[in-house]
Amino acid sequence: MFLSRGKGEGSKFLRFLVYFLVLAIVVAFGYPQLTRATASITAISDTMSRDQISQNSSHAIKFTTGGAIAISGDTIAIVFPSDFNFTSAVSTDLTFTHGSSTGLEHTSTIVAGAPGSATWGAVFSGTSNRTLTLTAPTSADPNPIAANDKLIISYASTHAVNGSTATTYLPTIQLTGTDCAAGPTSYAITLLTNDQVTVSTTIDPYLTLTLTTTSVSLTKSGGGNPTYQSGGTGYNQSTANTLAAGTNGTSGYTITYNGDTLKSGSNSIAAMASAGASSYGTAQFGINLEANTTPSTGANPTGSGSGTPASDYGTANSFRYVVNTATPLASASAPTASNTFTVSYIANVASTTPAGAYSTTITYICTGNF
Amino acid sequence: MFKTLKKLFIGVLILALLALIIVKRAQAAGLTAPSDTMSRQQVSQNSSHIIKFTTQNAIQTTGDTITITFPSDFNFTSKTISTVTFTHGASTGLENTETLAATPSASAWGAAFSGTQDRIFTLTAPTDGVGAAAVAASDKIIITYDNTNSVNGSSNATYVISIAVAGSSSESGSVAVYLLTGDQISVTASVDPTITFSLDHTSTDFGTITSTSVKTSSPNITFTTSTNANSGYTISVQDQGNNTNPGLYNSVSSYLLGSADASYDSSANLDSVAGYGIQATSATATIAAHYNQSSDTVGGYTRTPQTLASFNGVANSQAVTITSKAKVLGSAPAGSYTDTVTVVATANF
Repeated sequence: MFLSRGKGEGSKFLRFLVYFLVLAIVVAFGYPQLTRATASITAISDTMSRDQISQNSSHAIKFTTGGAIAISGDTIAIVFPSDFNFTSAVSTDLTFTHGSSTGLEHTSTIVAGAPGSATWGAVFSGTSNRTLTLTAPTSADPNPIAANDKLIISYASTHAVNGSTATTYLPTIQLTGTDCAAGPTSYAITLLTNDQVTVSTTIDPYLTLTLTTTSVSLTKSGGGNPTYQSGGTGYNQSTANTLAAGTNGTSGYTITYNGDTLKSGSNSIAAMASAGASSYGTAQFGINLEANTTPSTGANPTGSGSGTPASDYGTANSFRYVVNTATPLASASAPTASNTFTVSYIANVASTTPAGAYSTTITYICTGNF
Repeated sequence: MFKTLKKLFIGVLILALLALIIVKRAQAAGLTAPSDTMSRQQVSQNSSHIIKFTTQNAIQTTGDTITITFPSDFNFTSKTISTVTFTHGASTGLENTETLAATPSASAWGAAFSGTQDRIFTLTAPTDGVGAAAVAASDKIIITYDNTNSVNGSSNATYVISIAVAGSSSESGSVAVYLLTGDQISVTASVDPTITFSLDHTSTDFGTITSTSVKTSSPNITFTTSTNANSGYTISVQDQGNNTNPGLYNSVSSYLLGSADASYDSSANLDSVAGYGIQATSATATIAAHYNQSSDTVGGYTRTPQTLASFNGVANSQAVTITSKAKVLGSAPAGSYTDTVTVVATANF
């Protein structure tokens, strides 16, 4: 149809043909180039362990590649700026992972120098080894890096010394290869004269002691004064006397008591020089820090601390009282939260115990052992 | 060659400086195991202090000091160094006792109170650095204040006491004490007065009394007394007799065998006279003199209460036993004779 037309129409056709061929050539050869042109290096970060000048620091360099890095001879080059120092850096200082999601899905094996069939080759070069070149395996990578994969290349801090100036530095990343070529693309890291803050505080020693009740009256069960007969034991029934102690002392605390036995003028009720049970009809004055049943008085120690009664005062229904001597009653051997001890007092009388009003004053002391 | 030597010298110098820094740091470490044992923890109360700690470094150079600083509110005004002691040693801290003086000498540590209300106490090493014995590294040190002019702070709170060693070495530490509004418990109990009294028999029988021999009734009667009365007890006896005079009475014949004899004497020897009375014995109680008889001599009853026995002190089941004896005149009417004796125990509280 076009040939049957005149010379003008043939010229137009030829012009159309030329345009068509040019367009075909452009599309045929240009399209792959346009596809490769989408290769890029994005989302770059370098997480360092130290930002201080001249300080050893690790680097976790993470970026996303626009193109696949899966062909033998493909390279990844990281170049640190002047003043950084990686002298003596070795391939074992490095780790290389990649993947589509976190960048940690696959770990590639790195060997020094040339790549192997399934291992990446790593070469440090340039002044102070500031350039690292990773070269793809010579055969098919068992875990090929796909387009849009995240890559994480980490340097240990062992042979990685920061620059010496407090300023911003611009390392670069460059990818070379058929499908991945991109860069060099730079990113920024900044160094400080000092990247650390010393935090200090002083904790003062402390010790607390609380006494509830400053007087107790000893009466027998059901009320009335102690007698030598069955049920005649006197004890502090409703007037619980508690001691609560806590400290941050390295070796804890010691609570002591000090006081006379019950006395009425020149008469006295014998103190229990050794630990023993309450026995009506026998003159006794004793204390302990436990829940007792004979007589029914007292409570076990409470609280989250480590304080415990001294041995002669930590058994139910066993009492003791040492006269006029600072005697350990409870203690903790390490810093401790507060424990509350309930002091039970018992008095038994003999048939010959002189009648009268008996009393004593007991002083409690808590010493912190710092 | 010169350059090599110079480098070597600088290297040695740097090492020496590092060593000095390390040593200095060791010296600056804190003293350990400080404690303050007080005699009273009540606010505003006089209290002694036993301040104990372990020094890391020797304190044996002239001019070395140990300083104890109490916090504001404690008051040591007028406290003297004679009320302070200073001991130290490797084990208990009590092995060596140092002499304290106003100024240090070859044999004494200087000791001085200073600051507001004398809250600062400074010990200065002897001029020879030694005194009684050199304070060695790791020695336990005990400094005691008695409670004279040693008044606690006035608040119910934690107080922090500072301890510092200075001079050839430097150490410091602190210890907390806690003051209470009241640090004492008053314990009271009352013991009621008690007395128990019992007779093992309430009757005794002479059988037939004759004029020829002294007759003893049977059984003897024992009184048992217990009391917690401080001054013990008294047992008294009171005789009925014929309601006028004491003795064994024959109501049919209206005849009275007088006690202790027909003249109602306080005692009588029935070997020689007719009469009636008792003898009393006890292992513990004191028997009234006229009842403390033997053989055939008896004490006479009276119509009024009369002390039989007594004891001064608390008593536990004390026994008093009476033995009754009688002899009649040949002219005494035949018949039945009786008497009633009332016994009373009184506790003396």
